[in-house]
Amino acid sequence: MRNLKWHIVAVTIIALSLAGIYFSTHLFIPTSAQGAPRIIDVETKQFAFTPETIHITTGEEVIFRVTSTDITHGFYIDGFNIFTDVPPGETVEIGPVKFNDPGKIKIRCATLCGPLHPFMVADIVVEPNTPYYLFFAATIVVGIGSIVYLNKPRQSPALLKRLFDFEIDLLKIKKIGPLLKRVLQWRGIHFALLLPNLLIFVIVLASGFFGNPMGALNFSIAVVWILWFAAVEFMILFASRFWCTVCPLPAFGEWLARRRLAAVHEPKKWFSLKKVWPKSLDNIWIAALGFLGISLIIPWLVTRPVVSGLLFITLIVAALVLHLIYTERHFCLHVCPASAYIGYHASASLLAVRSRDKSICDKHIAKECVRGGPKGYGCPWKRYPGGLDWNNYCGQCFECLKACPLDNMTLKYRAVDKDIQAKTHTKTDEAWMGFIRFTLAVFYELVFFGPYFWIKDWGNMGITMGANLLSINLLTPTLQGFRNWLGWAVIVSSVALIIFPAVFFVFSWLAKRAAKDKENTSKNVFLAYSYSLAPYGLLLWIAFAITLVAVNWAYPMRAFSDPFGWGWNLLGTGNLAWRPFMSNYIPLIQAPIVFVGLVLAITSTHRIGLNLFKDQKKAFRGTAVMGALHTLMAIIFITLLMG
Amino acid sequence: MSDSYKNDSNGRKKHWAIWEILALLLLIGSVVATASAPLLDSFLVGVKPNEVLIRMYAEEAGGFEPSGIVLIQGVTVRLVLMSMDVTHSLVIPDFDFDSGPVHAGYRKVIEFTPDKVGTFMFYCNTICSSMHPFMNGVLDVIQG
Repeated sequence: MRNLKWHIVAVTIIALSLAGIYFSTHLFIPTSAQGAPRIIDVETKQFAFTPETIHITTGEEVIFRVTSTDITHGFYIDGFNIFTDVPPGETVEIGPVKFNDPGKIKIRCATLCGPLHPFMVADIVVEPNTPYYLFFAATIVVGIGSIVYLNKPRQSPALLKRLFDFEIDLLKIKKIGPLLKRVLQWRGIHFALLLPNLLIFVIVLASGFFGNPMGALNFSIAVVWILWFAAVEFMILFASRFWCTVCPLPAFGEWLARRRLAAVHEPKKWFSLKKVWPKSLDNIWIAALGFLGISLIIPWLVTRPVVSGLLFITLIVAALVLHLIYTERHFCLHVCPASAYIGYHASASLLAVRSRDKSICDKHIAKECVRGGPKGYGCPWKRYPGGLDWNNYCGQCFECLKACPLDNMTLKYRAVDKDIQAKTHTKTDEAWMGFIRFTLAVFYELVFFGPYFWIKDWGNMGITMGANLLSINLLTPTLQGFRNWLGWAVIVSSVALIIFPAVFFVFSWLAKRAAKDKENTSKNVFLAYSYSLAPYGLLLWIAFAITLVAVNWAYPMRAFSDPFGWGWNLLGTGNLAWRPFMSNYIPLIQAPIVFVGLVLAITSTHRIGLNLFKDQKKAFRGTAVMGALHTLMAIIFITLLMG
Repeated sequence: MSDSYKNDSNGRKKHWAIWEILALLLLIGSVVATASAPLLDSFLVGVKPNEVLIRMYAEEAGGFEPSGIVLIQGVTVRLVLMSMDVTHSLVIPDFDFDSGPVHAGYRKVIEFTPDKVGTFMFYCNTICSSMHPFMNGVLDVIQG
């Protein structure tokens, strides 16, 4: 108990002093900056501000003199109630604006000006940038603190144990448990969850192909790439693969192959060639590289409705064809890029489908969870649900909960590192999925919410038009645009596939040296350690998603009222104005999330080290080296946010 | 084995087929209904009989839609101007009509009474793309 008290005291002191230092930085406003306000000329164009970064002293008054070199833009500064139009051919004076709070904020375009409008930003650094220095120091404290904390085996105090080392059988909770069980065992539940989602999907396809060419006003972009994308990142953490439960992409294939929408049909009567999935493809390489491939066209995908529409229809057709050839969820297991990353991070999720007592499953010969039975299909994801200890490839279809005659399958809420604790994983395809996801979380923060125009422009092939199916010709790039895009493609793929994995390898090799380990190959140590990126990467993506939603929440709300961007107003939200939510405080919400990610990365690294080296001292040395890399990555991310 | 798929544990026949058919009808019905939503545009866009809807796209993406309108001399209409992609405006120089900027995703409703008979051009007066100078349409005013 004494131990616990100290923890609480320490955490409180740290939290209070951080808050104190942060707010005290706001008290010292220099009064020297008197006299006439400084005039700063700002030029706007599709989709950039010049200058890209503006340095201002705290307390200074500034007048912005803004012009446009092409079409009408707008001017908004985080935390100020300024939403001004900048029409072409005029010089708009904004201000005087007084900057009292130190830190980095953004200028954003406030008037819809084209597909990349949501990413048209510039930085204002209000000097001295004390919040950044503070959070920079805090990152190091969190990183080194976590490493040092792991230097000897610790008996976690009760509170920490409850927070970080719990496992709850959700179906045994009083009152809610039995109800949840009935719902999940009802044969119609999957169909009932799918149907509304499928209708949303019909709207996504229709609006993608025929709706407004401008992404921000089109359901297929505004709802999918702002709301869905962000929701899924949170969903992975709290509900594992729940998206896969309700995903409509493979539904047509599955229904057709089973020849049933909800009821169980005998496997031998399925409508499928029932081929065996090739051994060489029994991995997630296609999906991981597909995810990278999608990233190469991401500036188009998330801004042009037709590109999204084409991607989704391709995935539906692929799922349908694969179901009819191979039966079961091979599309989800090996092809779907979203499934691959959701699954990869799901190993760090709080929710899991597990058996209550594995020994019962092992002794039970009938194994309906694998072979199927009259109450439920055998696992469509080709797992042995009774023996699950790894979330990656459990699609949460809940068929095993229905099929099990022994009532031994359940839903568990458990600590995030349970899967990593269970055993060492060393699969190259999964490792690279982790590298790609982690790299892109950092890279996207730089590209989409950084002020550097050239990199957005390279990815966008320099095209200023939106497009639906009828105006797809507008996406024809110039030769120069295409060359620039090749440059972008080389940068993205080399960073994600080679540079970051190489850095990670060097660190893992050093970690192995530091641990004086002779049992494991360097390759295995490298691959095993890469799984610490599962919780880390997920939290960085959550941090990224927060900006997207906080700034652009108005677009999905509008799209629900006006899915095609044609001026409808079904629910009364069709005319919502674009108003960022607390955008000047976003980094202060993101930073703690990054810190949680960092702590989870380091503790997971330690778990992996314990599994690999079977020795606390060796594991700690490995953790110290890998922890340095994790801390370094957190510093880079914090610098992007606040520096 | 196959009996257990047809009958429940008490040996009663399962009525799965009814539920399957219901689910199928529900599926097809709701998908068709949702997919036909675009056809309801003229109802859902909320334009009254005395209003004339003009959607404005960049010239590359279609320009004014419709690009030709017919009005009756002396009859007041409300022009519903809707910008679809970026900021546009509509001017009819012969009538000294200028809508001022209309932002993408919003509409401006302006009363307009044509007092002359003839064929007139209307233009976009806010630079909106590289093809902006070609963004125009035709207004026919006929005698009532």
